[in-house]
Formats: sequence, C-alpha cells, structure tokens
Amino acid sequence: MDAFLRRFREGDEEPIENLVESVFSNFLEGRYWSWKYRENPYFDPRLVALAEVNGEVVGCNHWLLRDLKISGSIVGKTVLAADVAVKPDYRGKGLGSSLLRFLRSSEVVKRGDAALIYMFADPELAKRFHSPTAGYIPAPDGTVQYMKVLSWRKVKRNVDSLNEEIRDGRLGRRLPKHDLSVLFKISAAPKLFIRVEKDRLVVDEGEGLDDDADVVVSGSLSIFNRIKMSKRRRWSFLKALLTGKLRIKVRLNKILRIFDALWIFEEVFGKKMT
Amino acid sequence: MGGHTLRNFVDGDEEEIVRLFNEVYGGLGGYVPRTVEYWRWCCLKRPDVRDDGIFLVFDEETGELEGYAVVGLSGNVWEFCSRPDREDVASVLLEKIINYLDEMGVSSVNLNVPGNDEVLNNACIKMGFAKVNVHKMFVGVLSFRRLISTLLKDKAKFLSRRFKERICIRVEDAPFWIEKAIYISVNDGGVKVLEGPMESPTILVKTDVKTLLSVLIGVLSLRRALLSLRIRVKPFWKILAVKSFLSHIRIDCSWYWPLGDFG
Repeated sequence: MDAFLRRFREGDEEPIENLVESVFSNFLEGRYWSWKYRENPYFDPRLVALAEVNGEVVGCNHWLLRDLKISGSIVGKTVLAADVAVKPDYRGKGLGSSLLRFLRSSEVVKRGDAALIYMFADPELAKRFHSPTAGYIPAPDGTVQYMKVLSWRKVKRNVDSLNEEIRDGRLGRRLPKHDLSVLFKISAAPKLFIRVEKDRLVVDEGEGLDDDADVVVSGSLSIFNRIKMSKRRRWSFLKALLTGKLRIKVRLNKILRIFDALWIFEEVFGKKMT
Repeated sequence: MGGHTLRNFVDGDEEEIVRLFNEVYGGLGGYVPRTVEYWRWCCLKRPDVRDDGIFLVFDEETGELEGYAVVGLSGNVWEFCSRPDREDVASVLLEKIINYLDEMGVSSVNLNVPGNDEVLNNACIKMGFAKVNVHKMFVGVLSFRRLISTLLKDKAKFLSRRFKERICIRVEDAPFWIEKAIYISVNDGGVKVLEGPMESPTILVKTDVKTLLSVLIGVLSLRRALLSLRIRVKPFWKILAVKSFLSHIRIDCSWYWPLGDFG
C-alpha cells in the first residue's frame, strides 16, 4: 500500500469530515468536524495532514496550535494533538505513525514557537500506545473527573433491543433455563434491577428497589466504568472481585447461574450505557 | 455572603465570564487562557450547547458574577467555575445542571474540577457525584530549547544574579524532532538559550527525553532523577548548581483542564 501524505487544502473538508465522522460515529451528529476545526480560532490548515491512496482520503491527523497556561505566570504556545482517523481497512499499516511524523517535521512546528504537545487519552491506551510510540508522559495532575448517572435509560434501551432479538429469534443464543435476578448498586447512580427470565429480560431502576435479588453487585462507578472500557472485560471483572473493588452477594443455590447469564450482562452493558 | 440569583446566559455576558474564569483559575496551569473569542467558540457555538444550558449565578447584593456552568446535551459540563469557598454557589449550579440534564432526558453528567478546590470537590460529592478516571492529559515535547526559554521568561533576572555557568544538556535518546543538545548561558548579562553549540561548557548534563521533560513539567522530583542517575552531571561537584538551576525553572503548579479544552 503506497499512501501519499500531504497537507490539508481547500476542498478537503467533505472527505475529511466524512472520514472523521465515520471513525468517531458517536460525536455530535455531523456538526462535529467543521465546528471543531474550521470554526476554531486556533485552526491552521498547515497542521492538518491527510493520507491518500489512489486519490481517496484514508487517513488524517489534526493538530491545533494553542496557547496553554503552563504555570501560574507563564502562557506558552503548545500543540493539541487532536483527532487521528484511519479507515478500518488501512489500520495496522503504520499510517497513523506516518501522519504523526509528517506533522512533526512540518515547517510550522520546526520554526514555530510551540514547545510542548499534549493530548487527552484513556490512561490504559496511553500506557500501551502513546507513551512508547510518541514519548508522551502524564501531565501534572490537578484535575478530578466526576460523573453522576441520572438514569439507566440507555441500559433499558439495550434490554429492549435484546428482548426484540429474542422475540424475533435473531439472537442466536438461548437464555438460561432458570430465572436470575440481579441488583446493581453502583455509587452515583440509581439502583438497577435486571431479571433474566426464560424468554425475556425485565429491567427496572430507582432508589425504591429493595435488595431482594438473587445477586447483588455493588461497587463504585469508576470500577464499573473501567470494566466496561477494558478489552478483557471478564478478566477485569474477576480482578475487581478479587481485589474487593466490586462486591457480590449471591444466594448459594444461584451461584452457578451467574456464569450462564454472564454473556447477557456483557450484551446489555457492552453497548452505550450512559 | 449574601443571597444569589441564577439566570441563563444573555449576549454581553461573555466578558464577565471570561474575566471570572481567568481570575479563579489564574494560579493553575493546563488550560487554554480564556479570551472572548475562544470562549464563544468553545462554549457558545458548541453544537450540543443551547442558550438555555449556560447558567450564571450572581451575588444578590453586589451584582457580581459568582459562578457559571456551560452544559451540553451530551451530558458534559464543558466549563464550570465558581469562586473559591462559595460552596453555596457551586451547589446551586450543580443542582441546576442535574435538573436541566434530567429534564432533557440525558443519562449522565460528566464534570471536571480542579483537585485543589476542596470546597468544590465536597460540593460534588454531596450532590452524589463519584470520582472516575476516564481520560487523562498527556504531554510530549517538541523542542526543549523553546520549552526552557519559555520557562526562563520571568526568572532570567533572578537566575543571572545567582549563577555564572555555561550549561550543556545532552539528551541522549532525542528523536529527530528534538534537539540532541541544549546550551544555556547564564551570566550577568542574563540567561540565554543558544541556537548552536557553545565553547567549553562549565557543566555537562546528560539525560534522556522522558526524564528531562518529567523534571521540567514537575512530575518527577529532581532529587529522584539525580539519585537514580537519570540525570548525570559533569563535573560531579556542580550537581547542586544543576539541582538549584532546574528547580528554579521547573513548573511547580498542578494542571487543570476543563472538559471544554478536551475537544
């Protein structure tokens, strides 16, 4: 595969917008790219790199030259390394790294005032990918991130679509023969109750739910999130149990049923949850 | 401390908002300093923010802006700012955010606050928020010469009175975009980070990219870097001079990034 790398030029908006939106499909319903880049006061077309194969845009990398408060008294020029997008068929071929090197050797960066480059990433991903490949290190950490779940409506929607698949026979797997009810008591979230029945799932939420379930799972939202984002969810789940970060109260006679039903919870929580 | 009034954003509030943001977060690093132009783009024009999603709290007696929040329909609070020690203002804003997003049918709220604001952190916990660790900020270097020049900006006078040295910092694993060596001349005439090599440096410092960057941005202690030989000094008796020089220029504040700066 021979990719041709070049700088952004007028007329590239549409292919680049389509590429970014197909790769980051969850963002802002199509208004994302032009707001984030074209309307951005820090937008510099020389800091957008494109990769083309046979005239088709298959990858792009965006940098934004920004002022950043470096300390209480110093503001410095920095680069925000923003979206890198590569079409799925062209991934794993070094295109992302080539786009990165292309921008790093650009004249704007070489001759400009920027001293630092920064980005935001999932800490696990950064440890595995960004730090070894591009030398990133964690910034001085003074930010606390908070989250509060207002409702489990997306989980309910996931359960509804699973129920539809069950009804239409599209699921391809059978629900366990025995009923199992699970109550999730996650910090900063309403209680969530899911009952697995022979031919459907039942879901309910609210503070009023009592603890009378076969299984009660309790833990922090942070742990719950980490399990969800992990590539090896079952392993993360087990690790959280073993380290006591996630607690499970289960009726002895129902203990084996958990394993039968585990895939259902992976289905329900694997999709968008909040 | 008097009562307060809460209202939605109206055109013309921008300047007061920007002033408050820069004042409240002035002692911290890690964020894009707000200008009216940047704020308009970052908050007002953001596709998921509606005019009724920007809330301002004013002091009833003085009429001064005490805090504000910019809330997106994605559930992200893109900007949150309240004067330190005003838990009442923070709580009013947090309650408004929760009610607004709940009414809009949004499932969750995400909010970033500075770790050193104990009052604000307490207010978040009281309102039922939980700490999560979804994203972190990471930093890399494009030019050590430019970074050191930037860090020297307001310390040059002080350093030139204290040191008389020609320092060469050799970065052993520097990739193609980073200088392999940085030359700093400190004398009565001031502090200069030179473009090219210097004659007979009085101090030679050998290190690697990660160590030098970690020390300069304040995430690795100098003592640790020196003791572990990740920073080596020649001649060795200049070690205290190097320690003192680097400790004067390194960043010594924590970084706070509002969600709005994330993307």
